Amino acid sequence: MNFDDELKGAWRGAVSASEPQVLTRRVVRRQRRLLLQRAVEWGLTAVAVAVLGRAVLSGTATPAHWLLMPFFLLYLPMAWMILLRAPDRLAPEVVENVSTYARLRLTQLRTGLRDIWLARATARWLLGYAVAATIVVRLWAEESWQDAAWTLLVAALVAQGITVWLSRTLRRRWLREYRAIRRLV
Amino acid sequence: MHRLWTQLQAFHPHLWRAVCGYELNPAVREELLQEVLLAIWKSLPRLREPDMLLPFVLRIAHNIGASHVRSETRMPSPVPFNEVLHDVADPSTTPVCVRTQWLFEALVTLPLTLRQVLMLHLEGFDYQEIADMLGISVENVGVRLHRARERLRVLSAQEGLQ
Repeated sequence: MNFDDELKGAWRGAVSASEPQVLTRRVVRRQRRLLLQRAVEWGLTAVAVAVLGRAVLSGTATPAHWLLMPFFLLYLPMAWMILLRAPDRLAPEVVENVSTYARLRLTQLRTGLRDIWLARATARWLLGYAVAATIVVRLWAEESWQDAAWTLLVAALVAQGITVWLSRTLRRRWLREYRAIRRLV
Repeated sequence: MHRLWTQLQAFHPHLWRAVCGYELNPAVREELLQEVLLAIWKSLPRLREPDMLLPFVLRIAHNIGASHVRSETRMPSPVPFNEVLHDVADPSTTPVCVRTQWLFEALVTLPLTLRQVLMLHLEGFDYQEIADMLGISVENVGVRLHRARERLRVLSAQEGLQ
């Protein structure tokens, strides 16, 4: 038996333990999970817009609404831009030939890496805004604004923490993938 | 569910082999296979020629595998060889499963450009089909295949499997 035949024999020796029906069920379940995740994202956005929008339109906006509004006006579009533009391995480009896919994927990953930078910059800007707003409120505003300022500061700190953690993880993963895919172009 | 989905089940072994070429960890292999199947599920409506189902799904598997390769593949940490402690298999009676394991461990050491060509060749595709799936020239397929084979031959000789 020559080397090629040995390789082919070894190649065909790999057998999956999972039944096709089990795999199909898992795929359907995963597809549903992805849909649910997107539904939750839409739901949270709709709630944020409804709460702020209703308060402004009805003229019942409290100090908390006014302080949190710039935060949401910047945070929501930024979050959605990153969600929708994030490099997705299941994107339609995956059916192209490997060379074309690699080129498209590199562009996606470059965009993703740029968006990560933008997300971190936005989170820093929001933290700066929250700190400035808290100082101003502490010095000059009346009591009703104080609690709203603290809420804003806590929200900005949480957003900053999540953004840093998420961006570090994604950046590392996408950079590794970028280096691997670059060799296919 | 797409009408070709049931037909796809016949190609699960092909997809599994493609996945094994990108990942050594059995648990992660399962995850990767699911990801490939999910991508196929979403992409099936874009398939124009049902006769080309196998090349279509393998193209998806190799694209996702290439994206996966550096993000999650972990090579097992090498253990120094000790003739006293380790049993050495007789190459003439080496069972297929050992050769299979060796092959996939050897494949992940190859660069993607060589690995993909070799995997598609082992799957039984000819040069032209491989060139179409990878988007490279037929000559390039020949060169890459030759280099991949040589590398495996050297590895095999070094490990006394040939």
